Amino acid sequence: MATILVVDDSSDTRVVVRMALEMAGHGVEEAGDGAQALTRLETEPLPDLVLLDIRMPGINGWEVLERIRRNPYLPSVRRIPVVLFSAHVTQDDPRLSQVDNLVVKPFRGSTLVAQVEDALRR
Amino acid sequence: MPRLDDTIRALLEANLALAQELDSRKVLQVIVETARRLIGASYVALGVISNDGRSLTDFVHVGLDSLTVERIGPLPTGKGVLGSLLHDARILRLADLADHPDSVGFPAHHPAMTSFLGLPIEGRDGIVGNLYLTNKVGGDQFTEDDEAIAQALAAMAAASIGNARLYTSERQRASKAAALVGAVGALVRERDPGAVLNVVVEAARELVDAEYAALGILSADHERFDRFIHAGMDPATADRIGSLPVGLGVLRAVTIERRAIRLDDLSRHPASVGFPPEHPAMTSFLGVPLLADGEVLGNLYLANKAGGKGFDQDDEDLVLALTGQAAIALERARVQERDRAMVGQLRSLLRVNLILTQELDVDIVLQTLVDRARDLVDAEYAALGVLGEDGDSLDAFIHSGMDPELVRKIGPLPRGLGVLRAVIVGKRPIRMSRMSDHPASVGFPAHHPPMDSFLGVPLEYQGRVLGNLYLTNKRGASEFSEEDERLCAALAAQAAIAIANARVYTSERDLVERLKLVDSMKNDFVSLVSHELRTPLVALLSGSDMLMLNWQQMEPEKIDLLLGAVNRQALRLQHLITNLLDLGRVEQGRLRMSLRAVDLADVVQSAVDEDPSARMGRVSVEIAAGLRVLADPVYLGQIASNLIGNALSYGGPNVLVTAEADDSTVRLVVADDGGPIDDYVVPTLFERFTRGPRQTDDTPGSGLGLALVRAFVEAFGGTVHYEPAADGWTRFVVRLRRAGRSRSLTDELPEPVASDAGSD
Repeated sequence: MATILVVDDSSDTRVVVRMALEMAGHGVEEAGDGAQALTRLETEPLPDLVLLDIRMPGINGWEVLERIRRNPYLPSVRRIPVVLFSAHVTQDDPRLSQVDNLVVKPFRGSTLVAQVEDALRR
Repeated sequence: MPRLDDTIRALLEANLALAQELDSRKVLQVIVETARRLIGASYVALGVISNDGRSLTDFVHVGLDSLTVERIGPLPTGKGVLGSLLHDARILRLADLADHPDSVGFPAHHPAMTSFLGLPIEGRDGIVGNLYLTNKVGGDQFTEDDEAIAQALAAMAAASIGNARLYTSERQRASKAAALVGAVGALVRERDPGAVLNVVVEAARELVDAEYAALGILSADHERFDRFIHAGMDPATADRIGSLPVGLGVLRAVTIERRAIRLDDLSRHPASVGFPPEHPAMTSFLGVPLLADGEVLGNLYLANKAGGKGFDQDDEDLVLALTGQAAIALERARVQERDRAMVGQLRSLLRVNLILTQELDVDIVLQTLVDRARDLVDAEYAALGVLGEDGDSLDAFIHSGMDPELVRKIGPLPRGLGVLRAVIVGKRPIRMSRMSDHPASVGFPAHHPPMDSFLGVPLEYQGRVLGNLYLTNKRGASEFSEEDERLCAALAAQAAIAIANARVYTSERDLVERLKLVDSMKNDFVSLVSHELRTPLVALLSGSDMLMLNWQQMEPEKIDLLLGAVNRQALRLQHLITNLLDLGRVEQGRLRMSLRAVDLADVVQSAVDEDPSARMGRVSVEIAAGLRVLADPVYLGQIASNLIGNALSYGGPNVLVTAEADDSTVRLVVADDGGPIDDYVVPTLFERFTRGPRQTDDTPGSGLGLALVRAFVEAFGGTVHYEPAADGWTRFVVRLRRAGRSRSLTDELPEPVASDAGSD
């Protein structure tokens, strides 16, 4: 069982994602936007994986990803597996090389869990 | 009397001297001494006459002491007995000189002479001198034998004098050739045409021993002399002569006949006129034309050869050789001057070209072209007019040479009537010395500087005239030249290319910008719609999935949670789809709308009553009853509902709805005290899916509310805008057409107006 930080600005999305992951036996923490996610990563024990929405107000998913991967102090932060889930991603976006998996919205719960567990195994 | 063999030996020695001695005077001295010794005379003398036979150039003698010679004084002039020897090739043998009728002219101190033997010295071309002996030693008079010996010696003297003359003239020729070579060398090195002429005049005068020399350069029309350079005349005389000789008379004959004229006495020539009265007297004259490429540039004349002689063929050949070189040097200088000017012009054109290729701003290019054109052709004023795309008005007017104050006075752009119009319509250059001569000389503004000479060229590109370039008031000439016209035509072509390029560039750039914008809008829209439509689907799809697969194992609270999320997102999706469809329809004019007079207060109050969040009592409506606007009541309600909903969601907490009216319009104002909207959101406030920084996917609303408001308002023929107010209240203002106060619909609108263009 792993601890997964779910970052999405839709609370209904967070509800269904939380349930899907919990039913697969994982622990879930939530953040409603990029700022909350970064605060959580700064202050609490690191999660095993970050599940990240892209389109969010304020600090968006790409910026959160950038700050994780370019963290100047902690290699453990830089190495956190990140799975993006988004409604609209251009497949040849070069920033995708920095993420472990991509799940396109909408998705079935089983697909999401499979992609998350795949990323955790790497 | 010496023995014969002594005589022969002495003659042979004299002959040897003749063969070995280069100095003619020494040879003659030997001859005189030999004569005295062989013949036995108290006094022997030998005279050499000048080429013209008029004077003695040398006089060698023996038998007189130096004191006596000094007392005799100057050389015998060759008159009297000796003179007759010179003119008459006869031998004169006299017992007593005094008997001869011509016995005059011997100087006072000449020793007394009795017996006399005189004989001419004959060269190939005549008499070159004489030899005479006096006072026979040991006898009364000279014998025939004496005469024979004297003849032999005279022949030797003739040979010596001839040799000497030949040698001298050869040496003179050589020195003249050297002088000519020197002068030509100077000409070749000299690049300044003025200095070339000075060298020619001085060198010619020295080469042919003329008293003075002068050179005249003809003007382009050959009617007068542009320059007159002289040598051998003191400045005072030159001043007295005054202005340049007009070149009539002999000098004119030289230039017209294009050949050398050589005269021993100028006054005898029929065309000897035109020399100024103060000109020094001239006898001998040599005039040659200055020819270059068969064209007469001018003439060179020399006067008064030294020694009172006339100029000979040698002189003429020398001067012709010199003037030939001078003409070449002058021509070269002229070509160089022209080349320099052309290089300058080419440089200018190249600079223009460089600017053309490097500078994208067409205004800078055209200003450079106008300035350059003015410099190149030396015009006081230059201007360039660019026709508008319609070809009927001037788009731009760029000028050079006017001070800004004057430009201000001239006022608005010339309309391009008159001559400038003629240049454009005629598609050809117009060049004239007096602007006012042209029939179309109108249309220049009152304060335009006066214009005399004028040159106008069209700016033509691919057969289309894009404008014109004109220059006025050529400096230092009465009109612009053909060369000026060619240069300006070249610059005008450059200008036309620059304008055409700029237009193509601008329109292409605009097109690219528009396409980029459309493309990015499309991408943004696709991304937005994807996000907005797919986000609710996450809960719908995975929520319903989980419920279907796991509902039996799930705790009831979790089932409720999931069902709530699914239901909320389904409603959200429905709302979104309805709004999107409405928006699409209204934008395409396909939304069924029925415009009529609607009571504004009624509609707004219903919208407030139907909004659950508005029931909190924070919304005040202050609209006069009976105020009616032209609208569809359903969509007017949606406008009010959207604006009030936005105010509550993003502004608030207090919302005030008011209306102001004048005769034709009504301003519906929805204000909230939530402070102004972030600046960066404002420009796209009424765009689809515009969201503020605080809005998340949990924020109620589709992101289409304001877009719909605008679409509906515009369908009613009204407007909507946002007003950030300084008093802390943010206002959305809807302007609608006011409907009449009458309650009767038909008074106002005989028939309902429908913007319905079909159904879907």
